[in-house]
Amino acid sequence: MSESSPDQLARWVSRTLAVGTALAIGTIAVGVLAGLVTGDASVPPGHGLSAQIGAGRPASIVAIGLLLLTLTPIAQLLPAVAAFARQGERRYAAISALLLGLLLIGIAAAAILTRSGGG
Amino acid sequence: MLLVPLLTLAFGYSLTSAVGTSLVCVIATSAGAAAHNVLTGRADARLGLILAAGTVVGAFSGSLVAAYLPDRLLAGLFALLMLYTAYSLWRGMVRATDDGAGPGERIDPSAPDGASAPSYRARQRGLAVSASFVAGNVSSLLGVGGGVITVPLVHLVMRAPLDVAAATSNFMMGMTASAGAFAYLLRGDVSPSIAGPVVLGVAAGSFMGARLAPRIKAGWLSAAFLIVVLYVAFEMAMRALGSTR
Repeated sequence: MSESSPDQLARWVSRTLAVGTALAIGTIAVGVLAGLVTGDASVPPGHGLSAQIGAGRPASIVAIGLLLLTLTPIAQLLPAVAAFARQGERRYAAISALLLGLLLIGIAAAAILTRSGGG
Repeated sequence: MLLVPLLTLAFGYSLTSAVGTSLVCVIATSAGAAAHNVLTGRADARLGLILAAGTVVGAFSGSLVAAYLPDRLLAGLFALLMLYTAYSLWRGMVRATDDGAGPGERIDPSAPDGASAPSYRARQRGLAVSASFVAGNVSSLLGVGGGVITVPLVHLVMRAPLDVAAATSNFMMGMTASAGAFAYLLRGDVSPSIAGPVVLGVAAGSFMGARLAPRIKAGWLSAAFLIVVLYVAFEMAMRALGSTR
């Protein structure tokens, strides 16, 4: 285990969180501004996230930003797995991978349940 | 924590819509702070990942159950959470919380497991993961970060220093809120036209708040927050007792 290993983990995870948050907030800001400029701030027809994004209106840009924001904490697990594996911390690499798997399975389950529920 | 009552009591949104919007805002405030806390070593990422396994599973179960719970029950649960928060605030104001680290003990939250690992990381771990599951449920059912449970858990049960407990809890919060928010997003409970401006406002507010907080007396801040929390508990209790879905 190298002495600089915690720094590598911290740098990678921190950068992913910072970039993801900035990108998401920026996208949301563009969508909100576009809604103000065009005067079209209403919610697109349809209830689900896919309908909101597919509507091609300013609110769709906001919906993409919200999706990016929600994905950011999940995305941080990818560099965490890589950093732990590279540092030889197998236990934490496995925990990070398990957490990533849990989150992806949970999202897939929520999507299936939403679809079968008509949402 | 106050966003859900603000959206429901002041703007008349349904609790499920307010909870989904609040969870997205939790991510917005948590991710930015976590990026800083992980980089500076204030947050214990290793402990956070272990406990997040509990909160994430809890958040999924909470968000799936939330769709089937009536607004009145959620309002009642929220009132109870507010009362617990008020009690924690009052207790903190009455007696200063001691630091979990022993005198002179050097703690490096970013140290890998081994001889240099902080001792709190292994203390009561099974209990902590179980309690984290409860925190995840509370987070996604009520649209809060879950810090009201995880900070005392890491500080008082695992005996980590308070600043490490707060930073680690914040690090977990993003993953927990993300797990909870997806079900609300996919169901369309989060309206972009409401959530967009709210997320921008919350992000700007947390940026300014972090710079203003050191200039305001902590005691006054706690007292003001206590009054607001008690008022919200009262309003939510009234909603639970008096209104129908």
